[in-house]
Amino acid sequence: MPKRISSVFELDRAGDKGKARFNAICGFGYSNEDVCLSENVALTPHAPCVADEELLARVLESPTHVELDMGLKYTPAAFSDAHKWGLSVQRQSLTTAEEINLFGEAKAKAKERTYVGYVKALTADLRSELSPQSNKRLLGIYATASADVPSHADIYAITNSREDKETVKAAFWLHFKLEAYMPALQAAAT
Amino acid sequence: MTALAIQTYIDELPTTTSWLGKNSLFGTRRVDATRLFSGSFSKRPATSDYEQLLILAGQALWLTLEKSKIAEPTISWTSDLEPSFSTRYFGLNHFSLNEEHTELSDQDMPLPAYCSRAALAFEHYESLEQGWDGEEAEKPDAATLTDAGYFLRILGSHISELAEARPMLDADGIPGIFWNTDNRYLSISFYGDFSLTYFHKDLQSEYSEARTISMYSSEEISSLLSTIEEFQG
Repeated sequence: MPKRISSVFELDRAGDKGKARFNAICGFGYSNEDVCLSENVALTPHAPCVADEELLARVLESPTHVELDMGLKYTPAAFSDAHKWGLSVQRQSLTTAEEINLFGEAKAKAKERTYVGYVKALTADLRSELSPQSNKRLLGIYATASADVPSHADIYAITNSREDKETVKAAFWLHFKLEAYMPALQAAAT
Repeated sequence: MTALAIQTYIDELPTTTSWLGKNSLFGTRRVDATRLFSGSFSKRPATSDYEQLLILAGQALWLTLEKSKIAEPTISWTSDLEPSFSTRYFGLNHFSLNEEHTELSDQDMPLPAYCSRAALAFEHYESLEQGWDGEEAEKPDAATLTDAGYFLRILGSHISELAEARPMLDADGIPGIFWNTDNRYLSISFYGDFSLTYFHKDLQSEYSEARTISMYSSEEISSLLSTIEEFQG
């Protein structure tokens, strides 16, 4: 029953080592139809559900203690929050570039990081990603707006197999076009 | 030990055991090494009973390797004419022809340049602690990094030139490598159970494949290597 999705967002974000929400969604075993229905359940009074034609922006931060050359950021593994407490994104139709930048700078500052910029992907592209093995949807995209950040949404992986996780890594890498943010590697390859 | 006895040993070697051992120095290239090694002997005819014995002993050792899961013997040769074997790991001490030997380990095996960055990154990952991403990322388990390093050696022993293998580490502490060209994408992750999970996508045809395979499976590893070989730099 898709309405159970509401209970997921009542769980402690940091619970179960940060995987409480991810584990709960995976546990539902949604069919593709159920995922669509769950994405249309109103989870917040501050914004409508996320539409297929919306662009989603993900801010990029640069932790000072990790090195680009070591493959610790902007790789296909960079967005693994989707397998944890949810990949936080901004809905471009409900915000502006300036607001996304301000959000990114504030988020990075709170964690003593440097804000790098943001990347964008189309909701429909992410929703169209299917498991090569089961043909089931891999990602669920939910409006999780607050009064302060009405454009906020979360992307969750909704299956937990190793093969699907590998597929999700590729989906984020390709749709968010993270290649452009690996200048050191690009330079080394040429 | 006579030449006839060694020939009997060769003939009676079991034929069903896997030759891809976890502690392999040469990994899946072992069969190639066997061929090369045997070839270097067969180029010239034996000139004495002693040399005939040496040739057969060499063949017996390599055939044992080909059919076993245990590590290679220590082998060295100072010239083409003076190979020497240490057969102690095989319980074949009666084959010993020369006590001199050189010991090699997996770490001594040079990796091609396209593996360098990934190898360096995997070393770096060993030093990471819980929360390395500034949040709650998992510390990579040693077994995952051992498997990742082992796969680089399989890769390096089969393919001499390739686009750079790019390292990655996810927040669950799972290391991996990936390639991305205009037409193809491939990533491989290592979970520390001597298997690997890969995802391959042809970006033009949209064909994709995600699989988990054992690194003991020479057929599946060979198939994956064929796919990787298409990522030329």
